This record gives sequence, structure tokens and C-alpha cells, in this order.
Amino acid sequence: MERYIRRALAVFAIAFAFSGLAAQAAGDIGLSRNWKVCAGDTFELPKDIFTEWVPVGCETVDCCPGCPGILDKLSWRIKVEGAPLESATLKFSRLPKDIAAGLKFEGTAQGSAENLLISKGEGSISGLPVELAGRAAVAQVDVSLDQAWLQGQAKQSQAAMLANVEDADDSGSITIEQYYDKYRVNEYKIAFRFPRCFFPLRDRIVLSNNASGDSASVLVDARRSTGCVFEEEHKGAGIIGMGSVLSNGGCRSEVAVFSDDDAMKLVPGVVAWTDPLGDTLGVNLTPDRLMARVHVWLVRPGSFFTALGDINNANLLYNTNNSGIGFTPIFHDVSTSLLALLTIGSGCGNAAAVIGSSFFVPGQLNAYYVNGAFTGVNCGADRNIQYVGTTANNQTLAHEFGHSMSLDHTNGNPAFPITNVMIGGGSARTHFADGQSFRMNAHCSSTLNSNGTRSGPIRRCGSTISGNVACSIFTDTHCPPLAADVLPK
Amino acid sequence: MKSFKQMWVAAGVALLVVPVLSAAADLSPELSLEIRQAVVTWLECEECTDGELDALARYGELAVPTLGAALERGPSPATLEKYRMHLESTYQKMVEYSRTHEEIKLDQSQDEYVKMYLESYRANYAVRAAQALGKAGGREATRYLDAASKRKTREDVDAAVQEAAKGVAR
Repeated sequence: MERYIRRALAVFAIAFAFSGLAAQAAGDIGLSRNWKVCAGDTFELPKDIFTEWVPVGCETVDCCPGCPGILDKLSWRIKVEGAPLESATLKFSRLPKDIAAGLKFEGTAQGSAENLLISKGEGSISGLPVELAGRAAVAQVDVSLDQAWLQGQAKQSQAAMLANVEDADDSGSITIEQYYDKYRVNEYKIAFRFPRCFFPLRDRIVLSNNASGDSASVLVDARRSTGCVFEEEHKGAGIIGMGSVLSNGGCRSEVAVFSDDDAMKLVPGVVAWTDPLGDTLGVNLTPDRLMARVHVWLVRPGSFFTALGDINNANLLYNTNNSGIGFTPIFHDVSTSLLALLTIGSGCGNAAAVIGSSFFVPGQLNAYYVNGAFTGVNCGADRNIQYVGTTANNQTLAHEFGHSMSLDHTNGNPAFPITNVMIGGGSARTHFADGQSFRMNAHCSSTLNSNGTRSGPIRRCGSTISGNVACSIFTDTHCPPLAADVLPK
Repeated sequence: MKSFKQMWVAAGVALLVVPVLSAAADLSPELSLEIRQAVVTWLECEECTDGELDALARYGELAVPTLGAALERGPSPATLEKYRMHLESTYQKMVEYSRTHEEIKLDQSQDEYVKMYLESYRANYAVRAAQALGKAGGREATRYLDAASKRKTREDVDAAVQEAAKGVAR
């Protein structure tokens, strides 16, 4: 009885204390994806941009903290919103036949569990299982664009660019909320923005030595008839139409290019643009990707495969996000060395001892796989040091390398989806924004620069963490916004 | 007279406590959501330097059943599936990528790769749940920790449970 009274009083106190926050938190759904793609490109975009997989079931294993009654069935509320989106098609897999046959659909939902169409507006599904034996059921969600909107957008995009009218964009989103009665127990949201970005081939950027021939991301500062523009977003593998770019006048003029298998190219002080049309700015993407050496110290017995998997994923993530950075591991198995165990310890508290030891290579990245029950940490004492514990996930090392190269967490920044590698938690992080790649490359105290892996123009960017060297106050502070991003990669 | 007075006091206490008791059984949807989000934020944080555990501790014993369930059973099937799909997709991308990039060395099968990371993921849930229960304290938290300390799992999980059980305010 005493326990119930204590719990009841705790409920009362906490409900009172948090009453002002509840409404805000209830509507707060982190974006799983946040796409921004040119309306004119949508015909050619890879299909996976418009396909997602959403597991059926609760986020926590007890499903619904403090919920009444016996948890049996869930309902889904699916919202398709925004002019660019026409519908979402759901196909459930691993759903037992009797449950699939018993599902009920309302609102804009029509069809069956194998092929369910949710038109614009809100549709709902009831009768989904809270839990199944074995793996959870999954819905494949395919998003369809409104064809009439697409055609209209392409026309308007060209007309607006030719008339030098300011850019405009439309947005849409798909939200899936899973409910037990009135209690939301899981959620998923994907957002799309479709800016009009048609740039005819009048002035142009021509990329050369694009190692993988991929569609590179380009951020441009320049002058247009509307005035100075900053971080204007472009994409292309070779010749990129720029429309009409004018002579610099009083505007900053520079270009940053991000491409698979090539180092980030920062071209400051561009003088190629003139007022007449027909200008070409050539950008040579040599050298190829910058490879940072990583000394991987295997203190924990049997940690080789984890370390290898982590390095592999770091290479995949950094390169496929066009950061221009890769990692070359050098493995050191010190698991039988008592001296290594004592010196390296299991966290940043040992960083000072490590720095003065033979278990550290100065001026290069060092990753320590230790026997501590934590995920990972990058050490402020020397950003070249990261510890990886026994409960890390396959993105932990890539995340710590991000800190090493000056990146901070992106938690709470609504411009970043929960899949950003620098979110301070999560299990499915796959993305870096170009604004982050810029900092890892160009920020003065990034280990890429302080270790000498990169030589080139540097900047003193905001939204960064302290590094191994102090940045001169005279260093140029012009950097793209952290969330600047040209999609898709 | 004394018993009459005691009866009034008892009735007063009952009037105050009964509505609160029913609230304990049924948290509001908003509060339930907040607790879930606070629990998941803690269970999944990377360095956990942004006050995640303190934010969770504000909910006191209300978060204990969810933490206890995470300690006993790990991530939910849906959460586990999300990570599994991510791992499978990553492995497939690495296979594709390794055809043109020799720095990728795939020395494990997809099943081995997925299993290795899923085990760490489950362990992370158990370790974090134990740490939060240790901080929450109280009879329920202690019960979950004591039960977990009798199970033998991974060395790192067992150590975290033992440490939390040792330090819990009973």
C-alpha cells in the first residue's frame, strides 16, 4: 500500500511539474528523414528516397509506460500532407494471415495489408499486433508524388529562373503514429522539401577528375541580379548549369565541392564570373579522398571484428556522404599486455598517461577498444584519442571521428534528422550534411588539419567543439550553415 | 471523541489519496509519452554527456517499470528490428562498396556481422537500464536489480548490474 501511495504522489507531483511541457512533447516527432531535392530532378531520383521500412510495434519493450488495461492491439494513424505528395502505399510483411485479414481501415486508407493506399489526408489502421513471436512485422512505405504538381513545378521552376524570380519551394511529409488506445507508443516521420532549382547552361561550373563520376554537391557564394547569394546549392557530375552569375562586385565569391572519392575542394576568391553570359569556372577535384591513418589498439580480447566492422562503416559513411575523408587502419593487438591494459585504462581519465606512452601515435587518430561497458567517447585532452567500449554500435566510431574533426552533437537542432551521424544517440545513423563535411575539412582545429592530413584553406567555423590547436582570431570565419546540404548524395 | 476525530482524518486522507491512486494506475498519454522518450533517450545515448540520466531521474519511480522491462528483456521487437534492418542494409552496402574500394575488408558473413552488433545493442540496453535503476532507487528498482544479478549474461552486463545493485538506495 505504501508503495502505491508513494507512486501516486510521485505521479501527482510529476504531472504537476511537467504539465506545461506535456503538450509540446506530445507533438514532437523527430524526423527519420529530411529530404530536400530539386523539383526538376524528381523524375530521375533514386527510388530509395521514396521508400522506407517501418516496424510494427512499440518503441519500449513494456510498450506503454503507465497505460491502463491489457495491451493487445495497436492502431496506426498515417498522415500524408503537403501539395507535392499524392499518397503512400503500405505493404506489410511478416504479418500473420489472420491478423492481416482482420485489419480495419478508415479515413483515406483503402486496400489490404498487402497493398494499402493512403491518400492525402489521414488514414488509420486498427488491429495491428503489439508483439509477434520472432521478428516484428514491417511495413514498406512507398511515397508517390503528385504528377500534376510535378509538371506544374517544372514549368514554374524554369519560368522563375529565366525571370530571375526568387526561389520558392513546396514541402510535404508522411507521419506514422502507432497508438495503444490514446497512448502514442511509437512514431515515424519523413519530410520532403522541393525547392525550384532550375539553372540553365549559361554560366557553368565544369568539374574535372571526378574520381567516381558521381553527382557532386556544390555550394556557391556569388553575385546574382538579386544581390549576393550564399551557399547556393547545385549538383552535377561534370558540367553544372549556373544560370546567370554576375561579376563579384562587393560579393564574396567561392565554391565548395563535395564528391565521392575526392577530397573536398574549396575554391576561394573566384574571379571567373563576369556580367555577360558564357563564363566557365573549372574545378579540378584532384586530389582524391584524404585518408587519415587510424591506430586501432585492441586492448579487449576478441575485439578485432568489432573494430574492423566499425572502420568499414566509417569509411562507407564518410565517403558516401561526400565528405572526402577516409580511414586507413593499423591494428595493434595489445590484449595480452598488462602494461597496455594499465596504461590505456578504459576511458579519457587515462588520456594523459596514454599520450606519454608507446601506445599512442601522436598526430594521427588512435582508437582504443577497451573492456568497459560504454559505447564510445572522444577525449578533449587530445582529439586524436577515442575509446570504444563493449556496448558500442556500428556507428559509434564514425561518430567519435566526427568529434575528432570538430563536430558537435546535433541534438535538438530541428534541421537534422535522427539519422544524422552526429546525433548524440540512436542506432541507425547514416548521414552527414555538407555543412558538417565542410567543418571536418576546413575548420582550423579539425584533426584533419592539425594532423597535416589536409593542407588547404582553413576557416574558423561556428557550431564546432574545441580541438588540439587554438584557432587564430584572424582566420576567416565564413562557413556554410551546419545543416547546409545538397541532396541526394 | 478521539475515534470520531480519527475517522474524519482518515476520511480526509482517503479523499485526497483515492483520485491520486487512480492516476497512478493510468498515467496520462502525455506523461506516458514523456517517460518513454526520456527512457529511450537514455538507453540510446552515445556519450550521454547532455544530461540524459538526470532528465530521466526527474520521473523518479514512474520510469522504473519500463527500465526494469528493458533490463530483463532488452529493446522491444520493433526497436530491435529497426536496428537489424539498419545492420543488414549497411552490410549489403559494404559488400557493394567493397567491389570498388579495397579498404573495406569483409571478414564476416552478414549473419555474423548482424549478430555481433545486436548482442552489443542488447547489452547496452541492459547496462543503461541497470545504471538508471541504480540511480532511481527504491523497492521496485532494487527488486529488478536483485533479480538481474542472479542471472548470468555477458561479463560487462553482469558487472554493471552488480555495481548498480551495490549502490542502489534501497
